[in-house]
Amino acid sequence: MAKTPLQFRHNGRDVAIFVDGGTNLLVALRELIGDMTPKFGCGQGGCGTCSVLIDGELHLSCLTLAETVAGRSVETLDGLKEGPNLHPLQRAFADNFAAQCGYCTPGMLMAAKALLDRNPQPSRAEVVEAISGNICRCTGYEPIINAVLAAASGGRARA
Amino acid sequence: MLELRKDIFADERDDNLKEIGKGTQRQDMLGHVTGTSPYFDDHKLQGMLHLKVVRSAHPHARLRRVDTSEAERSQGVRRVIRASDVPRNLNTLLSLINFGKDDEPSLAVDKVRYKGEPIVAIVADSRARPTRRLPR
Repeated sequence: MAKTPLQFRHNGRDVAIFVDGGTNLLVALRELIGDMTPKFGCGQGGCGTCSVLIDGELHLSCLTLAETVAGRSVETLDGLKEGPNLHPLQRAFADNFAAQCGYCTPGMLMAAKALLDRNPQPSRAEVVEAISGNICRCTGYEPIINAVLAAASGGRARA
Repeated sequence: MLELRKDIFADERDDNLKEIGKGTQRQDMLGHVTGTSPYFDDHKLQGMLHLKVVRSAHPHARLRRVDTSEAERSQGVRRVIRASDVPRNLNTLLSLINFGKDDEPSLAVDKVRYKGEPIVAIVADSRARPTRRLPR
């Protein structure tokens, strides 16, 4: 099968790969680029753990054809850390016990980042709305919501 | 009186046992929030192959013929495992608890008895979908 060359920005770095027709972005990231931070959950857009940001907008990478991100910027959890330091959201998730098994955490963090990037001071309802596409099977939603609110208020207040 | 073995975790905490009332960070939290905790699907072993199982689409049906020729010809397929390749199932629930007649096949032989019963296992280089051909 003929492969298509594909170039895009991955966490601020230019990458070039060859993809089979029909390859989804999740497979491209995990198997061709080796970024294991987006997780394979359901593979059909129901769980949200494969969520990534494409040009700053939240997308389900399992439902995104890899070729559609040509020339665009893809951000994953792997790029969230600021150098050696945790992103405020990561710090807040850790401090608020917002991860149990951790499998939904990559998607939750990307959904939370998409929210805070466009709305730095969200209400509780807006946080709930923002992570509504992400399923946490440990059902630890409350600490996750609290963590996002804590990160939004600079880690001070607890909603 | 129970003897406390304080030497066992000596390097992990100071042993004043004043932990109650304090928040303690979980050991796996850093891996979780950075996405580096390894899960089953994240392992990449050298020479790793992938196995996919072709399962029954019917709740109860006779297996007249299993045609694996197309799968065997497919690119990247290393081996097609059929029921005759695994005549004894060593891992049935009943055998594990050492109880009763062990008659559940690994792969269906002449009949499928539930929807989703394994019929053929395909070992391949990648997880790209193997072709399936299963006349009833």
